[in-house]
Amino acid sequence: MTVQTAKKRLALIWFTGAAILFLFVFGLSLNSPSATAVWAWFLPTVMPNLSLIVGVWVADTRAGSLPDRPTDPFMYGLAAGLSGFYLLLIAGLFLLHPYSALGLTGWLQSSQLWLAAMQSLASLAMGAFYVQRTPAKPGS
Amino acid sequence: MSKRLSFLLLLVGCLWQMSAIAGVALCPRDGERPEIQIRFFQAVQVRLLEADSGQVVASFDSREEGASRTWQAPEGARGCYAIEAELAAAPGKALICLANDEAIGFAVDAQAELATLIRYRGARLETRGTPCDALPKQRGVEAAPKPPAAANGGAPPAFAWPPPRPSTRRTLARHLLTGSAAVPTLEYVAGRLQAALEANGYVEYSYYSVPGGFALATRLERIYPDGRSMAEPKRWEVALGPLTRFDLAEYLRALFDAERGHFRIIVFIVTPAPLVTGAEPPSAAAALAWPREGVPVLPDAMRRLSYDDSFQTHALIYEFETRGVGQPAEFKASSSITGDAHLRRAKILGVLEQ
Repeated sequence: MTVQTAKKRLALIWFTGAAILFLFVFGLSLNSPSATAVWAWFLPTVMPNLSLIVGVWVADTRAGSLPDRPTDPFMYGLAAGLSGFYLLLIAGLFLLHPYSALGLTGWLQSSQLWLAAMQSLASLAMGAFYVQRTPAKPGS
Repeated sequence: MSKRLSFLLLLVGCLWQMSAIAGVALCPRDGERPEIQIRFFQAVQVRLLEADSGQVVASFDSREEGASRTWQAPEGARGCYAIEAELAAAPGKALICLANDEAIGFAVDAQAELATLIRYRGARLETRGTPCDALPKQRGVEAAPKPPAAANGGAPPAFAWPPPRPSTRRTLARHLLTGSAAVPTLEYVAGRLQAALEANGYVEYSYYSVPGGFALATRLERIYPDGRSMAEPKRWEVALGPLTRFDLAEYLRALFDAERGHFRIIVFIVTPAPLVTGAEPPSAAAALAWPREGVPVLPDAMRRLSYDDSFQTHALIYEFETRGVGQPAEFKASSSITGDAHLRRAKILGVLEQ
């Protein structure tokens, strides 16, 4: 798999996951008395990573057409795996909150620390993937 | 000389600060409004002061009949409130405080009977100076002496008069209360109300005195938005809990945080006095205490009173709503259904009409 294809797949994972979560939070905010608190919790969980993806895409566009290279499968696998897992964790938090005695906001707040740790790992893996230096394909 | 003056000023300043903050104080918890409900066991005066300025914001005297014994801090209150209690028989005599995470008691000493018990919500307790002794959780209801009103022959505690503003109300037709009795008494009327309540699961209720008659308050129950009582045990749960099983409809409501808790207390007022309800709604804490602070049976002194044509019976419906798990209960100023619908769906009217 080439770096460009891997970047597109990673962007697809993030934008699809974030869009689904965004729609859920939007639906929640129509009813919930805690809408503001939920948005305040949700946005910092996805926006930094989405910004990173868009930032890289803008940088690539400005740099013009560069020769594509094969990606490091391990780096891509790690970034995609951690990203998917992280987005699933967020979805899981929303889906399980009805079973928590803490209430929606209490439940989300209680996850903040370990979720931030997971987000850091996912972000680091993405950062490492974007700055990887692999040799260009021979002849390209 | 100037050093001595500075020291003296410092000392005066410290003493002033200590006098301003000494004792027991309630401080708002995370944007909540502190709320207290006072129960007297002896002749006591309780004062609530702003902890910083020492200004009295509320005063409660056990000897004042019908006076409100609940208080809630104004919206946006941030400062702490100091509480002082004083025995009417011994003004100036210091009472010791006993406290736990829901109530503060005042007594002459740690072994003596409580003079007053103050339940609090939405606040954290701060003891400044001498710490309070521990108040056993049940002491407020078990160890404290029963107020004289609890005696069957005495007058029950007074219900707030005028009664707090209800969410809705319904005046009951006379024949619903008198049935076939030729000369109905208050005992007969109370009996009919009790029978109608008990037939529908309201087995906990309390009597209070009101001018010329009595008030009968039911326990807080959880209802559907249309006024039907929920099935037990949910009916008597005073707060929304998390889901414990999977039901798709319930799950989806809870998932989108759309779960609302609807709660109701019905207070029947039997009185010859014209009923004009107050402007203030009851606090959730005060309403929660109604079913347990009165007496469980109609006192002897009231039983023989004739339920003549001057009497009227009103049902005051107090509705509360909780918006999601962990959210505080709020009084519903205007019910979405009529008082008649409440009584009919609680099946009370049905029994009275038989």
